[in-house]
Parts: sequence; C-alpha cells; structure tokens
Amino acid sequence: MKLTREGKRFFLATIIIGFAAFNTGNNLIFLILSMMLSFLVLSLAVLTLNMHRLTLRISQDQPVYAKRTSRIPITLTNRKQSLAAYSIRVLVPGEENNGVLFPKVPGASEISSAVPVRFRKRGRYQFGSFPIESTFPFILISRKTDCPVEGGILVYPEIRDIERMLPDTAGKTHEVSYISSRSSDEFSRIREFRYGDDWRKIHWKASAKTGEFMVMEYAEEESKRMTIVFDNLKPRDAEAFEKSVSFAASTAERLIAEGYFVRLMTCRKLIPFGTGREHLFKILDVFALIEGQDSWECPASSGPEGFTILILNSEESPLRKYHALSDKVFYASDL
Amino acid sequence: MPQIYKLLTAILAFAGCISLVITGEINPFMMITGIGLFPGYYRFLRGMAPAAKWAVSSFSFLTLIVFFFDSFVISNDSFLGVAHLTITFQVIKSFDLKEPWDHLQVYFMALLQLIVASELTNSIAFGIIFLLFLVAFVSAMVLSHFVKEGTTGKVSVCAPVFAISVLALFFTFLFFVALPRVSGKIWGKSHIKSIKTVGFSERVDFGSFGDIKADPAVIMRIELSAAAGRPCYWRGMSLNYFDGTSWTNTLEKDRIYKDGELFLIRPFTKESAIVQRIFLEPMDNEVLFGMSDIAAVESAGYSMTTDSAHSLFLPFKKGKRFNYLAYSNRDSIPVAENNLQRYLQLPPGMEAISRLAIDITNPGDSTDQKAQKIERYLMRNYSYSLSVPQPPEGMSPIDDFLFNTRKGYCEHYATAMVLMLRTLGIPARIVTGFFGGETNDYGQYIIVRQSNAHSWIEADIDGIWKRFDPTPPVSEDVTSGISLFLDMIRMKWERYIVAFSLFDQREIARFVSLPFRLPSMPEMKSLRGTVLVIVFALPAGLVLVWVIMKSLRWKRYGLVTGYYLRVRDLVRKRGGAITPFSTPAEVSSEAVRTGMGGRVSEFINIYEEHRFGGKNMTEEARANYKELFREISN
Repeated sequence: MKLTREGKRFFLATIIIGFAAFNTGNNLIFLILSMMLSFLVLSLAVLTLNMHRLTLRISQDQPVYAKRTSRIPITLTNRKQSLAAYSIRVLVPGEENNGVLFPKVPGASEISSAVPVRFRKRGRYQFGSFPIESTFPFILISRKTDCPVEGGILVYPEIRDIERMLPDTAGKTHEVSYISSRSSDEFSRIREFRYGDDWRKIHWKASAKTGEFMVMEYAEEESKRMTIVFDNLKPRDAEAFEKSVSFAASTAERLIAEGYFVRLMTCRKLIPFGTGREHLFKILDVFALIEGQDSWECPASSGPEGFTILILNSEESPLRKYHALSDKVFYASDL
Repeated sequence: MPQIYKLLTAILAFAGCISLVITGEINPFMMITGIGLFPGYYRFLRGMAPAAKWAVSSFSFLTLIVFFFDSFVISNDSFLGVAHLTITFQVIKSFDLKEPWDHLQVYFMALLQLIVASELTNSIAFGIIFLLFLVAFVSAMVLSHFVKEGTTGKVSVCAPVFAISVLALFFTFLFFVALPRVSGKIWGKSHIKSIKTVGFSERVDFGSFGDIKADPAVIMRIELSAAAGRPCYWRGMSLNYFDGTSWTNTLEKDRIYKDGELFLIRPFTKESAIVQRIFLEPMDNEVLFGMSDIAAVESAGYSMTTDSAHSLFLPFKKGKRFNYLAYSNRDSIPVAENNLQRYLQLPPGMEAISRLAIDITNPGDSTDQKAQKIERYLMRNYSYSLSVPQPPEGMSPIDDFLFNTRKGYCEHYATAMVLMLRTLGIPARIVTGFFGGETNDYGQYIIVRQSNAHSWIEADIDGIWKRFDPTPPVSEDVTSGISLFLDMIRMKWERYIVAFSLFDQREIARFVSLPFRLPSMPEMKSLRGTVLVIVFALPAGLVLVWVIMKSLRWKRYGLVTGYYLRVRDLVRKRGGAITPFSTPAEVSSEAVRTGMGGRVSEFINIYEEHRFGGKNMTEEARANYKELFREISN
C-alpha cells in the first residue's frame, strides 16, 4: 500500500490543515480536517474491501510460444456476495505489459479478459499468484497485493526462422532418397504397433495371427518420415541448450507444417511418427519442459529411421554414435 | 473527459469562491476578478481550448504582484490577501484545465478557500457550502479515479459515488466528534469579527446604550431549566463609580480556578439551582452572563476572575463562540462587603437630585419602601425613548433627564435611581446585562439580542443586594415563525458544530462509557502544547525537510538524468537488482523482471536518445518524458 503522487499531496495538505485546526481550535477547520481524514480512511478501507475475496483463473486456449506475444485469457472472480470490485488491474509478473484492467466485477460473478503476454522462456508457468493493483475509490492510495491464481500456462520454445540452417530439408536431398514413386494411399507394409500409432490403423487379422498389435503402413508415411534425435544429455552450456531446444522445436514445427511424419527421440522421451497439429503439440509439449538428463534411456524400440536430424549438445556427446546414421547433424554451439 | 467531471470541477471552484464571498469580509473590488470564473468554466464545459501558456503565466505573475500590494496596502491583511489571491487563481486555472492533475489543483485551491472562509465566518451558510463541497469533492475524486483509469463510460459510477458519499459523511462526523479539541494557538490570530457591545467594559460612557438598542444582532442563546421564571435578567457586570458622564467599575478582581469540572463561586446545590446553558456569540468583552446569582460555571478554560459584586469574567475577550453551563442560586446576593462607601459615592452637583429623592420618599419609610417609591416614581412619570437629545451646555445628562426632557432609556432610569438612593444614604450600584429575550418554541431556548441590552440597579436592602428596575416596560417586536425556525437551525449549527468543545467530548465519552465504567477522559491542559508539537509540527517539519532534500537531490542532475535516476530508484525499490553501476539496459531488463511494464523501456529509450544521442529535448518531448515518469511512478 502506498500513496500515489496525488495521495502524497493530499496527505501533506491534511497535515497542514491538522496543524491549522489544532492551532486555531476553530471547529470549522476541524470539520474540514475530518473530511480529509475520512477520505484517507475511506481510501484505505474501501481499497482493502475492494480487493478482498478475489481470485484469478488463467487458461490457455491457444499455444503460447516464448518471445512471442500471445493473448492469455484471465478470469477474475469476485467472491464477495454483493459488493462489486472496481478497477482491478492484474499484472502478469515478468511481462512487458501494464496488465489487464477489470473496470468492474459485480459481486458473486466473474469477468474474463485477455492479456497480451510475452514470455521470455519456455516451461510450465504455475504462478501461484499474480499481483493485482487498484487505487479505487480515489486516486490517493494504491494497493498492490497477490491474488491466488488457478491454472497454469505451458510455454513452448521460441519458434525461429530456420530457413538458413535447413534450406533444403523439405526440398530435395532426402526426397531423392526416400520418396518412392508409389501413390500416397498405396499400402506399403504391415509392421508392429508402436507407441503413438493411430489405433484405427491396426490390422486386426495380422494382430490375431501374431498375437501382437500390427498396423498397416502406407507409402506416403514411409516416404515422408523424419526423425529428430535431440541430445539433452548432460548439457553444459544452458544458453546453447536453450538455442538447440528452440531449433529442434522450430524444425519439428516446419516439417509438420510441410506434411512430414515426424518422430522425436530424446533422453527418456519418445514421440513416435506422426503428423498434424495435434502431433506437433505433443512434440512441443516435450520441448516446453525438456531438461538435461544424466543418461540416455530413450524408450525407442529402434534406432533412427527415415531422414534423421541429429542435434547434439557438444562434440563429446555420447550420442555421436548416431552421427553415421543421421542425414543432418547440428551442434548446439553452432545454432 | 466526461462532462459531469468537468461540471464537478466547476462546482468545487465556485463553492470555494462563494465560501469566501459569504464571509462578507472580501473586498468587493478585489472580488471583481471572480467574475472571470463564468467565462472560464463556460469555455471549459463547451470543450474550448485552454488559454495560451504565456497568457496564463503573465496573469499568474500579475496576480502575485497584486497580492503583495493587496496584503500591504489595500487590505493591509495578508490573510485577506490570500483570500483574494485564491479567487484570482481559481479564475486563471479555469482557463488552463488540461489533465486530471489540473482538476486536483482546483480542488486543493477550493479547500484552501474553505479554510480561509472558516476563519472569517461561523455562519450556517458555510455549513451548507461545506456539505455541497463534500458531496461534490467525493464525486469528483471517485470520477478522477475512473478518468485516470480510462474507464469512464464503461462503469456506472452512481452507486459507488452515492455509497462513498454517505460513508464520507459518516466518517467526517465520526472524526469531527473524536478529534481532541486541544487548541495550541502557536501562531496567528482569529479573524472572526466579534460583536461590539456597550456596557461591559471597565468604563461605560453615559448614553452609549442608545446606540445599540436598535441592533437585532443575536448576542446569546440560552437553554433554560423549566423552573426559572420569566422574564429573565441576564446579569453581566456592575459599575459603582459615577463621575457625572461615565460609570466605572473600581472593584478588584480575584482569579478563580476549576474545582473538578466547575468554577465554584459560592456554595450551591445542583438540584435547586437554575441551570442555564448559554451560547455566547463572539463579543468584544470578557463578561459572562447568567441569571443572578451565578454560583458555579461549567465550561472549557482553566481560570476566570470574579469581583466582590459577583460579576464573572473570562481571562480573554470572547473572540470566538463560547458556551457554558451556569448554575444560579434562587436567593438574592447577600451583602458581604466591608467597604460599602464605594456604593454611596456621588459626583458633584447632586443637590437637585437629592431634593427630588427626599420629595418622593418619606423619612419614616424603610430602605425597601424608599427604593420602591423611587422605582415607581421613575416608571410612572418618565417616558421611554431612544432618541434623547444632547443636554444643554452646562447641564449634566442625568439632570437633563430628570428635570428637562423627562424621557430616556434604561441607562437614564438606572443611573437616576442609583444616584437618588445614594443621596438618601442607601448603597446602590448599576448593573449591566440583558433583559428578557425571545423564546424560540422550535428549539425551546431564548434568543437574546443586542437590543435586549439593559441596565438596572442593585441596592443594599436589609443586608441583601435587591434588584430594582425603574425602566418602564417596552413592547418588543415579534419575530416571524420562519425566522424563529431558521434561528433554531442556526442554533443547532452553532451548538453542535461551531461551539463543539472538549466539554462536549467529555459528555459524549461519559455517556458512551456509562455501561462499561471506563475511566474518564484525561485532562488535556498540560499536554496541549506538547501534543500539538509532537503530532503536527514535528512530522510536518520532517516531511518538509524530506521534500526539500528530495527535490534538491534530483535537481542537480538536470531534467533528463534526474528523472532517469528516479526511475532507476523506483526499479530498485520494487526489487530490481540495481547497483550504482547498472547500465540503462540492465535497468530496463530489471524493470521487466519486476513487473513494472514496458513503459520503463520506453522511458529509457527516450533517456538514451537525449542523454547520449545528442538530441535536445523539445517541449513536447519533455512533457511526454514527465508523463511517462508519472505513469511509471504510479
């Protein structure tokens, strides 16, 4: 709680009037002093009451990327039975904005508003509380307090322009090697079910015969497979690691946008081949939270498959064993 | 900016100026500038552009020059000079209203005007304006908030304005009752004009009562216990020495102090005493009035004086309203003086009066019979008149009254009777005070006016001071019902607001604490100066020093760097890791980290452009820079 610029002047005026009142003993000046004091007391009391029993809920209705402005819906709930809350400004910590202002939230109701937010880092943001601020009813005292926040936000890594680094990924090199002349809906083969496969592709007859789930694979899928092997094993340079995460996420985003079936292999995480928006989000979910690991325990049943992009932490990385199997190799320090 | 907000600013500016005008103390010539408020606010309400800056500055400068001239020459009173100055500044400001801060300046100026007015008047009109001001001020302040937030029009402000106005009234009342009334009087003098009275000074010129008998100004209002008879004599003081043209009080005064809550003059019992709560208007004398014989007084104050004639005096002139409870005994004043010769003093040339006294009375009459005969004689054979011509050259005014004109007013009758009794060897003295008064049935109190001023006599009749009033009765003007009703409101205003005192606070505290048996309020006498200094002067001095130091601290860096350093300071205060070596970029990034928003980055960009980019700051950029600072600091 602090006095605003106007509040400081008002307070000073109150002290001077107080001095005049006690000096003269004039009851009419006491009357004016009483008015001034009542303003200060009301500022405090109404302000405290105004910000009492408020809660926030934050939700995510669209992907949020680091270093990109997104509009996050924030819901302010006024749990007071009948008293409205006025002029509540919700400040999103660490963000370059003046928050969002809720001019009025009637008693026992809630109001939502989207706040433009630009997160600097990826990760899961569980805020616990947001600062809320108000100067209601006057402009004399400003109060800032923490308001509990329900919900959280998953911030995906920064998506960068990788055209310079992968100028021909979607173009030629691998297509020459992998794209067959078969049409895209032509049946290619039956293979074992892998984590992430579409259940609708299960070949029930073959599964019954083998006792294992078997799926049908089509020519298009076979021809447009991409594997991203991301090295998150004992990263040394945090900044370089973040850049490599951003690069990997950007690569996945671009490849899926171009219709590729992308698989992600990292320490302890595997996202099997898949494509489409939902599949991209699965990969980005991993990248949003990925951290360095001590050992390579990739749950992949097989090694790199299809066109493979290997993103390594350093030249000494144990994952260099995939170097020979990879079509493209990137080092974090170069990104 | 909503029209209602503009209108409220206009109302507050007008309220401030009107509060000064109603005091009747403002020089009409100096008030002329106030007319400028009409075009000023007309332009403002119609949304016309503010006046040019040079014009505002020039007029402001001119006003300051006029202020000094006014304070030392025209009004010869700096207090009135300030009153005139604020009116002119209100007018200038009405032509220069741009942002919400300007409106706040208008409110503060109106507040100052109210304070000045409160020192110049106690009238109920001030109370009405104050009430209007309070409601408008609350509304304007709430609207200021919404204007600042940019949400006017999006939110209905009626409900919060109404609720907060009611709360503000309630808290104002609460504070008014609770704030301790300890008057320090460290500096300044009261500017309330007191009523000029006659007959209550140590020396009273004969014939002076005639000038005030036509004055309807209210002198006091009295709530009287039902047991008292009517009409009443409100005894003031006695005069014992007459030199032929003037009366003088030559009695010595003794100081008396409070005994508990009472100034005890002589023994009495509360049950049998006549209780009078008296509200005196500001007067130019120290005399306390009451029904004879006042035995005790309950009031604020720490001492008073009394003389052997049982007159009571305050240690100061009643420059302010004063209220007290007087307890009067029903029995007459016993003669307890050794020196009765002073009541037999006669000026030279009393032979004719002596003969008249002897003619009126019989030698065998008792003193009481003699006094009654003289009283009756004067009452029957002389007529009451306020238009008494000057006596012929060489004739004393009392001889002129008794033997020539045979008409006069109370002073003539009382003086004539005192002199006649003294020529007969009966000690007598003249008493000044008020007689009668008008009963206001609306408020159950008596209004005593200047026109009720009266003089009568007290004579030593068998060891007691007996009152005689030889003035024939005069019919009084009847006041209309509306006037009485208005006077009742005025009485309430004066009783509960203007004259509210520590005494009343004690009564309230006593009433409130009754069921809880709380200790009574402490005596504030010994503390009052210290309380005032500790509570106000010391913090105010510290705040002043702090403001000056702060202002000087930033000023030496110049505007651009000074404001930047302040922003840096703000970021540090909000938890930013700022060291003296932090670069602007680091400050910017810390500001973002601590949630101060992008305005800081914008501010720092402007700072860098002008600090290091070799750019000169234009007037507009300067204003923008300052505005950004304000936004950040808020």
